[in-house]
Amino acid sequence: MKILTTLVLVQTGILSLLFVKIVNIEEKVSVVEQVAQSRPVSDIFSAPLTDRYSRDSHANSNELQLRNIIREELAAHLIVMTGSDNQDDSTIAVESTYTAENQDQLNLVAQKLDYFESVGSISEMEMQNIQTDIAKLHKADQGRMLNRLMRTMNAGDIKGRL
Amino acid sequence: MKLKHLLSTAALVLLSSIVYAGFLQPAPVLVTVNADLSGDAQGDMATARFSASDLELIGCGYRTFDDGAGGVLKFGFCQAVQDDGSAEGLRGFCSTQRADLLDTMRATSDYSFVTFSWNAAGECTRVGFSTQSFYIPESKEKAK
Repeated sequence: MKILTTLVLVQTGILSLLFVKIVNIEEKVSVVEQVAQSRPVSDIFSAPLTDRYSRDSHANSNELQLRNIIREELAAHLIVMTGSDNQDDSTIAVESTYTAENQDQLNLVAQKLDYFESVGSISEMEMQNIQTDIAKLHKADQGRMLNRLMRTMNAGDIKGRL
Repeated sequence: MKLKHLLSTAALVLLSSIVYAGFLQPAPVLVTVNADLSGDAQGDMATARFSASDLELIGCGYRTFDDGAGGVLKFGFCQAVQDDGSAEGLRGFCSTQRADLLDTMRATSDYSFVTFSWNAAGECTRVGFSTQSFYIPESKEKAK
């Protein structure tokens, strides 16, 4: 009987604690919802960090937490994306700096590949040279030209070894 | 006397076969190129290297080039040629810049069994190696 009474008391205590926790969480959620409703989403992302200090302290602390969480999640997501696909990342990074030189180099590689296709073969030295030329291409073109080389070799249009 | 010679010869023959015993599984190079130019290839290096055919080959490699602008181009590739009776053989090639596939390509070693696939663009989509005792050749001399 004593054990049962003790267990009931302990259980009641735990339930009370849980109730208090839930009430706290609900309060926090309602504050975050109020902040979100009072400001458009674009404002939350674009506002400078100092802007948050002009609001009341409770709402600001929640907003700060929210912004920090979003920043951390975005940063983690970017790291995953960078790690899983370096090629895409490098493509984005240099896409804006495509120059006339890049275009000339692309034309040169394309012409060489056309030539090897017309001849039907490529020597080992020529293969090394074309790979060196491909390395000098704009990042966005490197993969495309490598693919073209592979495709023409798989088609039997250029005979040779890598 | 003749019986003694016969018996000792038989014993030597038996002994020599025991010394070289061991499971062997030569895997000749097989290449498949589909209509859209995707395909796959497999075979073990030793069988290709010591094949009677001068065409057969299989393997993967890794290249790093200075791009002349402070960066590098790194890519891996695999290639295989099967002697299908034609003058040039049946050929399969692929390349990749994907870090995970490049890691696998570094795992190659002597006498490996190699298998790889590629898509229609010529990009490697699968690379595999297996290094087993049964891929080591009985004789390293090229068969004529």
